[in-house]
Amino acid sequence: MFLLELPTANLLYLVLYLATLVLHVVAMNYVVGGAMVVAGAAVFKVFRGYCDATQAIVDKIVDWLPLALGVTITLGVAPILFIQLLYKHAFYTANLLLFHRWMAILPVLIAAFYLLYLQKTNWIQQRAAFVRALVALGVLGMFLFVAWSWSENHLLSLAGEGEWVEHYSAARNWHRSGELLPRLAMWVIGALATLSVILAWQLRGRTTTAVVRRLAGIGITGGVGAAAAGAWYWTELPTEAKLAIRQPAHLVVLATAAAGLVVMLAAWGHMARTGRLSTVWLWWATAGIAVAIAAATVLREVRRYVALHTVDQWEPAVEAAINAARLQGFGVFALFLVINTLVIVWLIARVRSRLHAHAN
Amino acid sequence: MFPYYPINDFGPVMKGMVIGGLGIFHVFLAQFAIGGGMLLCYFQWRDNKYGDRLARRFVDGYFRWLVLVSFVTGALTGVAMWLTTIQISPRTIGLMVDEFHWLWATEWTFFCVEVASGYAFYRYAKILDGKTRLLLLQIYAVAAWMSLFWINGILSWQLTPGGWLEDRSIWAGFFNATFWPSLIYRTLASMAIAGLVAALVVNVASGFSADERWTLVRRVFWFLAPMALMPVVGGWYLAVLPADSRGWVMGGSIAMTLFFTLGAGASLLIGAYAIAMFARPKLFVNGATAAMLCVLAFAATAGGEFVREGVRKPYTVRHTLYSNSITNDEVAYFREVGCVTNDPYPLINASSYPTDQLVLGARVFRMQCSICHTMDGANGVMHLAGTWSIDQLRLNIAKLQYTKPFMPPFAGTPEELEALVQLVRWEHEGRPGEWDTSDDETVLRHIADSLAKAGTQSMIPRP
Ligand code: HEC
Ligand code: HEM
Repeated sequence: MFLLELPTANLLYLVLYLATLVLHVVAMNYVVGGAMVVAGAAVFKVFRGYCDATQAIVDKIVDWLPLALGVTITLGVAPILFIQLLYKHAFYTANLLLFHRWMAILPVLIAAFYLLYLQKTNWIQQRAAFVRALVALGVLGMFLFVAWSWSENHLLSLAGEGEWVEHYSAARNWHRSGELLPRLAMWVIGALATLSVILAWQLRGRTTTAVVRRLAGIGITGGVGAAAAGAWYWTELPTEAKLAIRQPAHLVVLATAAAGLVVMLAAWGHMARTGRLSTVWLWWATAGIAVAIAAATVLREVRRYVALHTVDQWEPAVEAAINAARLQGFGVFALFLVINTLVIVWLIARVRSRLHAHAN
Repeated sequence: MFPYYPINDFGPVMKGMVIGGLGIFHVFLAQFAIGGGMLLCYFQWRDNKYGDRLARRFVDGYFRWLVLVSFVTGALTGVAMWLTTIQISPRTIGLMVDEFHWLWATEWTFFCVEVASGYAFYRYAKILDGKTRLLLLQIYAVAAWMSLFWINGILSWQLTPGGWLEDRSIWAGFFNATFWPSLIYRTLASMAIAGLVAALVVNVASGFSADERWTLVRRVFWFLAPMALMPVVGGWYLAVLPADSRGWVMGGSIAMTLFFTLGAGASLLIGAYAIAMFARPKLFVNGATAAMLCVLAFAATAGGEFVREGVRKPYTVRHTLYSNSITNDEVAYFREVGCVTNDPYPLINASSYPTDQLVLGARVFRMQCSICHTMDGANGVMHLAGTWSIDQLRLNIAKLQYTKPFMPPFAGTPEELEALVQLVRWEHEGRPGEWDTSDDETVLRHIADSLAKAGTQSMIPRP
């Protein structure tokens, strides 16, 4: 298990990187999965009307997407900080090589943000179905572009100096790799699984059987689709990566991810049959997907470890992180992490209690 | 091992201008968000205390603007600043992260509070009681200001690292000489910007009567009153600047002085208008005037940001890292080994140069000069030195840190220097298809002598 072989200083940053990345991924899944569902529904509506269940789901997503995007971006800031500590040379190099292509994610995200607000206005609700479909597809396209850029940047950062120099000399704007599509497919389709669970919590108490079955459909598509994309990814992995994943410790992580998915699928299967969102089963689904995401994030790091080893970038990266490691300031961070988490929890609780009071 | 990165060509634009340009937008938006938070607290307080319904309507109307504009663009331009800094100088941002990651992580926890409180307010304010509304706004305002607090320490450290230079203590670096004046100055600026933007919004928003507009505009203008402290705080800032940086602002560098004057002049005009408002109770600010004042505030921000980026030269982190990503110690090393000898990245358009020497010159230029110069665009070396004789070029580049103290010492071998000189001449001659390679031993010896005389240290004395 490569994680356990790391020096302590490094491990601290890696754990923080992984933990904050998991949070980013959860929020990102709501954004990407949500945009897929909304776009799918909007296109469907151009040809045929849809039922109340779909409407309820779409309304909920459209209502929360702007916040979800804000949260995704904010939660992306923490891993982007820690990744610089751990792998700055590789990360910066990939950023620089992709240049305009990479920087394009920023205007695209600004545009997407305003389109999300546009989607919430009455004005757009009164436009023709195909106009709304166009907007929804635009939003989805933008998010897919951003997700793709992150995956592409990631793979380029792992490619090593030989590939970097070639990329630079040829003034390329794109980094092609057989891994890109399956990898992206795994993130994007898997997003539906996370989305289904978060939506279920949001809609709990106001669901019909039809809504539950729709949600189960979304969740099961996400889970099964991610597994299929994972199998496809396996066929594209270089031999060294396959060997590393076959090591017992890493196999345990893989099995954990699979178990998480299975639990989530089983929970959705059960709720679909009963047509009810039971709290207990919803917790199972939540735990399942959470475990699956965490384990997948660790496996993602195994891939990086193998890649950087292959191109002799691992040792220098570890050494650089050790040189930069320091404890001065950590206490302040830990203190405000706790305080500010409490502040956020408190303010949400306070607003909720006022909303309940208001509703009664 | 020197960390080589692929260096991109920004065409005719100076790289510093890219950061400066984006920085203006970001700082303006971020300061607006900070001052806006305070402004909203004040109006919500009025609502709670006096039952001021107009104040409440203003909060509900104004906040949507705040959210839409500053949340979205402020957060994203923040990420954009980060990614742009990586594009311009990966080594600088790398050093900043290495030193201050825990404080940056701390700032991030405040971002999270901003998003949570801001969004909760945006979404539910209409159905919340006054006390909860005020609490949310206070949390938002404090979190927004705290993010300024943290980033301000890191940015001011770049210019005045102070005690950090001795023992690498991050607190000595964080609470550096310019920390307080720049924090206070930015806070004052935030309040002024928020007041001006609010005056504009009140004018263009529908739903207020003329009387109501008048009342609101006069109220928001109180947020400009603290500007009275700006001259004092600005003076304080100048006083604690290193002498060389201060010299450039005060006439030593035409560009810096110009930007400084622009910033100070725009602030003065705004201040004069504010004084007129306080002196004449009948005066009103209409939409056009408010818009013009906002433009002035933007100009003031622009002046300030360019000065802040500019006065650090030749360093991005003073006495530690030069703008071209080379450290003090590496200058001496590159004098021996050559700065591009181990650079794995070839020139993209190497075939457009007729000789290997010119290719070498172009690689040296890319590595050492391209961060501040283009060849024939903004701050183009051709325009600056095209007419110099070849020996003048050799000498002035060899003692680069004396030619202009805001340039770093030349960090390469005599061969590399000669290649750079040939490149400038060749460009000046209009890039002819044939060019002689110069490999005269006496010339190289002369250059070596000049380099030795110039030494490897910056002109700027380290305390
Ligand atoms: C830290 C930024 C920076 C770097 C790095 C830098 N310069 Fe400059 N240089 C400047 C500035 C600013 C000026 C002043 C321009 C003006 O006066 O308008 C200048 C002026 C010059 C001049 C004209 C000097 C004069 O007396 O008129 C020359 C020639 C020059 N630079 C060459 C170079 C070369 C060659 C390199 C690379 C080896 C280099 N510079 C690196 C910032 C830089
Ligand atoms: C809608 C917006 C976004 C989407 C859809 C998105 C999507 C993704 C995806 C798919 C990955 C995984 C890449 C891979 O492993 O192949 C990822 C990783 C990451 N994202 Fe995001 N992202 C978004 C916005 C952001 C923003 C704004 C930031 C920074 C502020 C950010 C920071 C990160 C970081 C640091 C990683 C890890 C990269 C690595 O390890 O190489 N993301 N994101």
